[in-house]
Amino acid sequence: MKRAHLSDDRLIEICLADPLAPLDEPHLRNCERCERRRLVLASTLGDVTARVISEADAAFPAERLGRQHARIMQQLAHLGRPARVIAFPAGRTQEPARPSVRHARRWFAATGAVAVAFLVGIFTEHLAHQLPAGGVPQTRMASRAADTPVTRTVVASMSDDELLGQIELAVGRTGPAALRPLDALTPRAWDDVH
Amino acid sequence: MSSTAPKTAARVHPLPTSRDSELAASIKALVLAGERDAARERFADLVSRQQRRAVRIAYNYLRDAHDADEAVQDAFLKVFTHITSYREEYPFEVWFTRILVNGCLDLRKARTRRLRWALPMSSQPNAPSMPEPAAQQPSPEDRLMSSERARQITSAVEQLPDRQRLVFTLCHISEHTTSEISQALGLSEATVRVHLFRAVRKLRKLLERPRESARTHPRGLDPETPTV
Repeated sequence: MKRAHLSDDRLIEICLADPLAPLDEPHLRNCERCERRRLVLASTLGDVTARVISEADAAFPAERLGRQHARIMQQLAHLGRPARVIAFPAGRTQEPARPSVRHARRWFAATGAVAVAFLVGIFTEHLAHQLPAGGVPQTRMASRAADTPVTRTVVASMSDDELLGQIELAVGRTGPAALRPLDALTPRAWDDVH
Repeated sequence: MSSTAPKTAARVHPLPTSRDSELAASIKALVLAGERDAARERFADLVSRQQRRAVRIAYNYLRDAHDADEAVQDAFLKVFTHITSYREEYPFEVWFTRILVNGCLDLRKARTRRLRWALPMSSQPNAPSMPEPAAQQPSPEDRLMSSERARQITSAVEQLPDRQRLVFTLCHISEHTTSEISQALGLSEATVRVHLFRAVRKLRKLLERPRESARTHPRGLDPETPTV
């Protein structure tokens, strides 16, 4: 009768367990082949573990660990302490105002601003009453109002061709003279058609 | 050849009162008593004891020395600021590992967000997204082991999914039991075992030596021999 060998998965289970499972221990003792397979797997796992550890240790040598330890303890020493305020400009350390004083100052400033605004309003109204009824400002407004309809009628009566012509003239007059030779050299689609 | 595989079954029920747990409990008592300076001095000892293990875990999870450095520092600061919430009935290592792994996850998410914007600007479209600092750094292990084998192993470990790599790291490097890993990661113990099993199976497949596998199990096992 041929003896059954251990499956690969069972071998992995055995390698991850210790002591050996009672069921498989006799088989491993008697089966050289399965024992050899188990040793190969255990060796592979040992190599992986050693490699993984050596990688991490190479990345973190003792000096680096020492620096890290010092940084951790330095940060812990500053835990819970208030932040240091750096004076700016240097040498002029200004005591921060107390909250109650700051609060009172704000109230004074707000009350003063309201009073000034009230006085300015009264003064303006007083000036408005003293000025003559048909003064300069009203005349100017009337003249502006009279000008507007004239402009509108001119624009409305102008045809599209006239408007475009005026735009071309305006552009021609104000365009930079240095660009005119370049414009002359540029082929025009309209000239090709005609 | 002796097995260096983890002894998971033997360490399912660890003693919660380790030296580090006692230290953490005493630091907590000092903080609660208002003696922060004394607590800090004692915490320095705890940092020294846990630091090496912490950087190994963080580095193997993040695969970047700067990120691992940051994660470890943040984890220790969090531990000290929240030491009053430490429960003495649990091992300190598990509590600390959980804080560290959560920090690593946050850093990894932040790095993914950074890469999402940084990759389109890269002039090398085929550049690897994961840095490989360790592959270029010589170590005593590199001198002992052939460089080709070392590269194979690094590549195989990097091919593991994040969760499997983390479980494998915690189990083999940090020597946590599956029960401790399940507490640290917030997973069930059965899930941890499955991740561990799959990690080992994948590593075995990737690292199978052709000569040895041909001699011992050409296609896993001989077709005519039954398996159990």
